Amino acid sequence: MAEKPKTAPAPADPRLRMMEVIIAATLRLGVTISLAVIAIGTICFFRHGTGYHLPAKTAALLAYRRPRGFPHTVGQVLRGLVALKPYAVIVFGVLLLLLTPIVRVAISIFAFLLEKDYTYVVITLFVFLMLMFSLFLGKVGA
Amino acid sequence: MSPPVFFIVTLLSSVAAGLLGALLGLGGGVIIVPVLTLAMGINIHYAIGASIVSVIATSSGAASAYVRDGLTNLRVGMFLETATTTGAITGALLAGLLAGRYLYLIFGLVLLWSGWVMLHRARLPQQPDLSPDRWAERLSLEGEYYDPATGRTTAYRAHHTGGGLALMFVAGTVSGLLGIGSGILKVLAMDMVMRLPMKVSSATSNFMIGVTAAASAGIYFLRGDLNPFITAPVALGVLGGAILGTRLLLHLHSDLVKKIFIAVLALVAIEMLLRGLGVNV
Repeated sequence: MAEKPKTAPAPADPRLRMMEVIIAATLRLGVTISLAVIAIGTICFFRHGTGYHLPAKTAALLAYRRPRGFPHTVGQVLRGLVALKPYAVIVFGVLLLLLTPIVRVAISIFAFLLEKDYTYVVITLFVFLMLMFSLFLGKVGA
Repeated sequence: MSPPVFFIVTLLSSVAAGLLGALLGLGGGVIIVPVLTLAMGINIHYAIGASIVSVIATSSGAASAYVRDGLTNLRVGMFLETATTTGAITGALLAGLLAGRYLYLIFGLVLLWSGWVMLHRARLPQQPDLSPDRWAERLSLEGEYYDPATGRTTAYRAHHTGGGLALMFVAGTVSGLLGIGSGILKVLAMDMVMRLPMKVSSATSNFMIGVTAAASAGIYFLRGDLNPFITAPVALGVLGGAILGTRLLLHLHSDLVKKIFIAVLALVAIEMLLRGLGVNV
């Protein structure tokens, strides 16, 4: 079988491609770690309960009412994590998962900086700020 | 049912959703939200929250596959993501203001639309080819790709950048509102409006989906819609199912399977609509 010839890259492409490969590897690592944390938190949950006020009964765990029986701010998660509450461990794993695309965008900023493509540094910064924005805006509608 | 049983049922349902999504080229979100709400009676806000997390998991987890072929256009993706992330935040905020039944209604309509698109994909009219877009030139929204099937390297450039951007905003809003990846709309926008090659559109769309979902996920998190009891099995299951799906490499493109799926999709859409109208079937 003939070897697949490489595409004729535009001047900037080889380095961007390499960046994409790095990004992809980082993402997979991030996903693996976060899923491992979620799995560990789940095991702890089945052995010790939620770590918060809710009884370990399905109906109570699924109820949509306030106050929530699980952490939902970064501060709450970290405090719960330190106290080894199972639910906090799970949510921490979920937060790590949420971080993976944000890390991807951050790495892209540096990739474009290396390319001296300042237009795209600005564009990517905008996307990054939108991602940060959403983490702080969430209180609206709560 | 007891918590462990619920967990396992949700986990297995999620694996099935992830598997089906991977095999059909759809996101897991479109499948998992109806399953969680209709079949398992979970509150739709929790269901959408869990679905958003699973969308991020599959997008980030599968990223290397999309990068390997060199088809993803990082610039196009990042440029369009300015619109999708803005839309995602809009959609996520909107979801917090809307009562559950409106989400059911909108979800049902989006499902119907998706089914219609899947049916008529080949016959959709394309935007006429106009002269090169000035924005595409200034922002380097172009590239080359190698197609192993034809053995040729083709250059391409984006058109109708404004239209593409607007559609991406809509795709992002739908994604943030319903917890789905909106891959279909993104690919359509890139393929039909911006006239990017199909393979580039698919790869770039997959690249974008995770970032779009992350933009809305923060809002769901702070609003307390990411319930660990639901999010854990869904995230683990959907990613597991998606990985299984890509390993099986059974790309179910046969017409019959597609038609069966569209029929099921229509039924689910109607159920979601009925829920939205207050009828509990």
